[in-house]
Amino acid sequence: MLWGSKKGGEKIFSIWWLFVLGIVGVGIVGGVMVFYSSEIDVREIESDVMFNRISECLIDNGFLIEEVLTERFDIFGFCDLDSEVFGKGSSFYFNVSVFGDGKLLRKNILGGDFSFEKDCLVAEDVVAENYPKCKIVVLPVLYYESGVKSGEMKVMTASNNKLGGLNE
Amino acid sequence: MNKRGINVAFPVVIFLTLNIVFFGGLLIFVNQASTGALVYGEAYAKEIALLIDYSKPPMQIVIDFQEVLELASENNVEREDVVRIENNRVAINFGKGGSGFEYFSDYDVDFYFDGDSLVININEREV
Repeated sequence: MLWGSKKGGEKIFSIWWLFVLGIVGVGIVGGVMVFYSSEIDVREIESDVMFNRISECLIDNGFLIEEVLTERFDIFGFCDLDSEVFGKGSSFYFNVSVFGDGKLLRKNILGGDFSFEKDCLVAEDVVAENYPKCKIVVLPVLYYESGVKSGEMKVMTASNNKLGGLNE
Repeated sequence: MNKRGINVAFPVVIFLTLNIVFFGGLLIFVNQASTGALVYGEAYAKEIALLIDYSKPPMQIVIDFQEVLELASENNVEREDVVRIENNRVAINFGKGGSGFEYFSDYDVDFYFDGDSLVININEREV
């Protein structure tokens, strides 16, 4: 027993018991600290939400919105995306290209941190925890060009948005 | 109980008491860590930011904020200081630091408390 016992075996037991308590305590406290200090990772969900937002905005009942194929198309205003958030040092990235008739009809409707494009390709082959989480989808679309034609829209979205402090 | 009985029982009582104190302390620590302000702050900041990005204006979102408001009240944070949504950031403040999370939508977002619920109104920005 702890203190007050005169038997040598029980003294050893009490030291052993303190040691066990210490290990258990440090283990539980350490485990809880590690578990709750890790961030809730929503980057994958965020790139998914961004993909849905862009694709639903640019495609209407399977038809590509006509303005998309014009050079002056402003995706930020059209899809209610904040151009400042997608500015320099952004935590987001998107790139939309449209293909039809075996040719590229419109490329690089993009915003955000361009380096994410390479990071996404690298992250496809290796496990890279701090790289952005990406979504790359090719969607079938219909578009008008002297009649209805079918084509494809490639959408790449990526997010590396992480938790910040209260006033960042 | 005679003197010999007390001598036998006393170490046992101390041993049990110390064990209860130790494991009780661990339980309280785990409970506080799991319901802590930082965990709630992060979860709610991200949830609200994702809800805003996922919404299609005009839309109204109502979130039960009772637990958050109770935590904020325990830390003497005024109700109107708990949530801030501005400059494309959702910030949750419980008094012990806080958490902020960015969203990418260019919407007109305002909010208010209706009882213990947080009501968020999302509208298209007027040009």
